[in-house]
Amino acid sequence: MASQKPHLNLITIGHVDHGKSTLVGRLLFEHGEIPAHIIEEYRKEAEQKGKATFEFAWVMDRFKEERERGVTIDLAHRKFETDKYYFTLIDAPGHRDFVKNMITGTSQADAAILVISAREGEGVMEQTREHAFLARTLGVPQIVVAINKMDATEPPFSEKRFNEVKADAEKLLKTIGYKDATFVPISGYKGDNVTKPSPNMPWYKGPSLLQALDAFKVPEKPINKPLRVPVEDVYSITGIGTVPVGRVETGVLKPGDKVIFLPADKQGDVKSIEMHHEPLQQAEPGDNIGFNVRGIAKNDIKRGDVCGHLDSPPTVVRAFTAQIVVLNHPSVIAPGYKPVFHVHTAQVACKIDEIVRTLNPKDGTTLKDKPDFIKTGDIAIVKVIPDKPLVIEKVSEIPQLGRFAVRDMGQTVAAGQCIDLEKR
Amino acid sequence: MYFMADDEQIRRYEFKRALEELSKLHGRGTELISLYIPPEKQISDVVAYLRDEYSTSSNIKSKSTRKNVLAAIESIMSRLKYYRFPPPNGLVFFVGHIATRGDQTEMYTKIIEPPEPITTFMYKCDSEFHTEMLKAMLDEKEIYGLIVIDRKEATVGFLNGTRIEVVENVQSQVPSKHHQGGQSSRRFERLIEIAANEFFKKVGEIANNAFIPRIKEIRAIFLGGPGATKEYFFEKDYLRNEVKDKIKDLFDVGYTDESGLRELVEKASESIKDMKISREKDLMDRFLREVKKPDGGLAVYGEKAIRDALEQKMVDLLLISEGIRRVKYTYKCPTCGEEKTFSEEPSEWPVCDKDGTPLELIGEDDMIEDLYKLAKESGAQVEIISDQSDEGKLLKQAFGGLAAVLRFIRKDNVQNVM
Ligand SMILES: Nc1nc2c(ncn2[C@@H]2O[C@H](COP(=O)(O)OP(=O)(O)OP(=O)(O)O)[C@@H](O)[C@H]2O)c(=O)[nH]1
Ligand SMILES: [Mg+2]
Repeated sequence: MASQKPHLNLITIGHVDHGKSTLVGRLLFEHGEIPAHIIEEYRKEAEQKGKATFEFAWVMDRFKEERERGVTIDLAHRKFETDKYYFTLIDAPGHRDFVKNMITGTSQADAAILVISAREGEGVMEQTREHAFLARTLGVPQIVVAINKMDATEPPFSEKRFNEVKADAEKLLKTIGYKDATFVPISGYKGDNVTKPSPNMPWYKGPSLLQALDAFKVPEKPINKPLRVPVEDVYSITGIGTVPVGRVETGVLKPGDKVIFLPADKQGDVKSIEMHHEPLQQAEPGDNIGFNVRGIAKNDIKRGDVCGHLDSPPTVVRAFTAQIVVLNHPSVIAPGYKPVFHVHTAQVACKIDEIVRTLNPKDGTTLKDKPDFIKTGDIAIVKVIPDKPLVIEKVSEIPQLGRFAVRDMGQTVAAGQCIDLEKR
Repeated sequence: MYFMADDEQIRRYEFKRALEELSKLHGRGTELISLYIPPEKQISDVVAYLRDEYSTSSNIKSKSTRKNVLAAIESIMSRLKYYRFPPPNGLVFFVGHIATRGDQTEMYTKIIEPPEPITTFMYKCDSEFHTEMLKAMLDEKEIYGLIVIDRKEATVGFLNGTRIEVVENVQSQVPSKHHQGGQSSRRFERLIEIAANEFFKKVGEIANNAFIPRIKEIRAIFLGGPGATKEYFFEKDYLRNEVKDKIKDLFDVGYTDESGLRELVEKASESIKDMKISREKDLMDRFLREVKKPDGGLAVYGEKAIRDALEQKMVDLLLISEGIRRVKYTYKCPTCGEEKTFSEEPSEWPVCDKDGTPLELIGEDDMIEDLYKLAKESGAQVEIISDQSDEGKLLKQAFGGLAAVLRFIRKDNVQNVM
């Protein structure tokens, strides 16, 4: 039987190589989730492969390619319990080519650790910004900032450097809309301030990272809304069958339920539900589950499909109306523009078909009807037509499935919410 | 056809327009002559050939056809007198009586100096003009191969000048990281590698099959994708050597679907500047940088604003979309004098709204040619932009196909469009 503690999905985000995976490995290690001999084994093997110091990262980086290059590519999930919470740790990649995977993880998170390296020449960087912005627009309400690699500042454990990086990060978070984040100076690699106060930083009086995590608030559980489970991945496990995995966003799922996956349009019966290898009698919002469905083959469904109950199926749209804010666009956005929309776990090219009007950011009144184009800083109502069938919900009904990020040419260019839709 | 400017772009544009016009025409009988003369052909030989055709054609049964064909041959022969040699790329004649309204016909002559050399002599008398050989000259010469790949998905395509074409998108069934973590299992890892190898093989085959038949035409192949997969795919023997040899560069690209192809082209055009698409992107960038400024900077767009600016000789760079409506047809009522304009040739002959009299065609103005002339006279740089690239589409859709960067701003004179 799974833990009775409240469940929180916690994602590590931040620029490439700033130490996200190492921190997760360290947390798991200090918590006894990973035995010391495994870390030792990784240490030796990593050193042999010319990847010394990656032993903690290897706990989460399990692809051959990840270990060879020392770069996280896809999400990895691990459970982790504190006195107060049952956490699902989601380790996200920081490399700019894999932001699309990071977004999938962020759509599942209740809280984030933003990892920023304090090493000279590092600090707040391109993906620090992009990730923080994405976390905010995809609805992650709480954030803790881990100022990492304090052992590698000049001089080591420099309070001055901590304050510099903290000031930059604070400024960034304020503009994005995170008000009172906690900043913890740590060394993920050496273990300072991760689970216990560090003798190397007597100047720091705040909580350890672990204490900061326990100070998160319990997220609300929208159990009275219709069931929605965006599929993150699908496994076929010998002897069991097809097992989609994903986070329950809204509603409640039980063994025996009749479910439908859309837009795939496949139906089945839920046989069993598991979270981190433990069976569940009922999955609730926030639960990151694998569930075995009878009547569905592995290739029938994929990342981006959404599971719901047969009697209130997810909404597949032909078109939708959205309010977007243009974050950072190199040129201008005009009708006909076709970037990639990330909605829950789905990623679909969508055409901006019409720019209905631009809004005044101060009071939401109309600035201009049908402008020829919009550019960075503009807030606009637009009509969007997905290239392929897509599940999205009105943000007024199921906010968890109504938010999206827009990416193009390797950048996050806009973000928004679905305010109206045309069913397919 | 007499090219008014020595400018490659407008020549090409006019050439294209001429071919479009020619393919719409037809004769009442087999009486339209298409004559292709290669550059090395002696004019005297052509004249001899036409004399022969003349005597053969005198046997045509239908009186009107005979009369029309003979008239067409005579017309060509008389025009050939002006040439001692064919021009450098040869010469093409399209001459004959074309069908007009009712059962009327009208003598039509078009002489084209093509943009590329004519390779074979051809004489055809038919009920329509033969333009295939010339149309082939419009085919895109700048072809690049495109591949984006990671372990989950790959897409193969072409960049044809400025247009991206998808050949195939494939999804792999390679399992991703085992969800629940736990101890790493060597067996699981081996299965992943086997599945990945199968997938790479398949992508290699798709790319080989797409590129090998056109390998001579393909200038280069761009390979992209997130992370190191593309390098692995490139180094191992999934691609045939001919294909590999054309790969000039690997690019970091986030997506591996059609959006990935767009991203790949964007990256490639940033680093390889002699591509047609890079040139278009750069030109549009100059305009977009201005238009993004809070007051619209030095940018103007839309027909009226552009005409005003051109007339005041303020335009530095004029961008014209190939895709805009090009011809304006103006009709006038012979009784009341009322004028009517159409942006496309009306399918039925228009009549006056007031008195129902059939209208007279009084003008056929090509907007592009017209603006081009105006711009050249004022010393502006003019560029015709395709409507295929992202930037080209933007020009056509957001800016009405006409955009300009001014030399300076005179707020009192220019109605700022912002
Ligand atoms: N000195 C020092 N090095 C660290 C610390 N944390 C991480 N590193 C090193 O930074 C490098 C990258 O660490 P990772 O944990 O893989 O970084 P990441 O943020 O997960 O990287 P991506 O997932 O690829 O974005 C490794 O060499 C780590 O040993 C730290 O606290 N101090
Ligand atoms: Mg990592």
